[in-house]
Amino acid sequence: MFMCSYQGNLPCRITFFLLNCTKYTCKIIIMVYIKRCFIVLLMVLPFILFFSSCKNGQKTKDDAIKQKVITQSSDSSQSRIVKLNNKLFSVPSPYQAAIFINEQELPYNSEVLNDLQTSHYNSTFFRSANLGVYGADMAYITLYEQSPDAMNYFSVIKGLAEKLQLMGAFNKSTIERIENNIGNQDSILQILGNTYRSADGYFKDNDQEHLACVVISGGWIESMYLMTHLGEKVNDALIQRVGENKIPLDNLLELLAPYSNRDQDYEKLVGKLLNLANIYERVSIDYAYIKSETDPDNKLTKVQTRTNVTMDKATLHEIKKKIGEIRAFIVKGEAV
Amino acid sequence: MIIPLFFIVTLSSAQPAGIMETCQNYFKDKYISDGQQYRALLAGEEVAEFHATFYKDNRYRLVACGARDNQTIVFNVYDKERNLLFSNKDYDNTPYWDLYFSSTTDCIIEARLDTNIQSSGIVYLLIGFEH
Repeated sequence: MFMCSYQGNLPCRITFFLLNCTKYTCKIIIMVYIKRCFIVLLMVLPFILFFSSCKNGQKTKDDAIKQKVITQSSDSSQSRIVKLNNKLFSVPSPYQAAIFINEQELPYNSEVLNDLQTSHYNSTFFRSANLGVYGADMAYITLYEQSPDAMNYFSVIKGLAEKLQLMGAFNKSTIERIENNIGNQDSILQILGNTYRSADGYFKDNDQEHLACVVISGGWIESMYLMTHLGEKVNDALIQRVGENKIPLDNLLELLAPYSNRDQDYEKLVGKLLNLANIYERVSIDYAYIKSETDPDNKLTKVQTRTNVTMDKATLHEIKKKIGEIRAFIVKGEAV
Repeated sequence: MIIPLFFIVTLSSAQPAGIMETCQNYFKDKYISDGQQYRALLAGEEVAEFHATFYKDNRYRLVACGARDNQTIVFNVYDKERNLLFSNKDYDNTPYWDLYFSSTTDCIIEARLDTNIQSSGIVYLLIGFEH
């Protein structure tokens, strides 16, 4: 005997219906069903409409950001602006993040740095991204005067540079200068800054702008990761500095956007950064212009504008989480 | 048609030997490069636009170089509302200038050739910060 009624689960109800209905019972069952469906529909409809509008709103926001990073200006007043290879967007040096962390007097913590193992970085994408990551790590180590770690991390940087055929930038003389100056933080930061700039130039000279952008992305992500993961203490300076990276993130997206369809790794990176930019939409930046003062004798202009970032702790927490996810994607590398 | 195109591609991709060293010399031993090399191939009145964020309590050095020794680059620094913060035109088109920011500021740097001297060429911009 078939043991379920029309109140059972869907397959059961269908089977029950087929096995047991007579003309009369069918009528009753159908009427009960129609009535119930109508009541359920009335109850569920407002929720469907609400979530649908939320989703559409989110989609519109994503589209707007995508549009923002992809659109080239067609305004005739901008037509004289040359956007050479779209490489006209600057991202702050990861060394400045390391300096900021050092100024916060947070204790040195090598646990947060990327692992020294690089054998799983098998593509130019991951090698370049992690060249940026290790550069930021190296700056952090240098500022904390951890010479043994500095030697190890520089050795990894050298290895990746070699695999990326960047030995023109990381040449013998540069390597010797770095190795001889380990422990002298100012010299190391200067040499590293110039070396990474040479690598940037090398990529651009050799039609590999996409890799130059990926190195910059890796450095920026790692610097944001270190800033947000080195301590639980949330002070105003950290909120300001993390919030101030709203525009640099936009600039990074502008840099990467032309290569977003190059392969799935670029696509993933841009997608994840777009998600981060979505969270950053909640960060508000107030700005006031104040006239600059110039000291011609010292060839110096003091810019006295005022910028104030407002961001709640929940947004900071979400940014931290998303940065952690993007960083994990970069340092994990691809499966062989 | 092919020859000018080839010329432009070659000109834009090849980096004249020594130009970076010349530019870099303006950093002396005091400024750390931001690790990027910004360049644009300009003709006539064209303007290259660079977007950058400068952090609070930092002194930066901007260096603008051309591919030729006698090339003069005119550069202006604006805030995001296009208020002029600095113009090297007021100081004999000096190839470098320092800016100290008392608050983090998003800027736009515009660079162009002095067309009285040259009608086309590559513009290099370097950004360094003091530590």
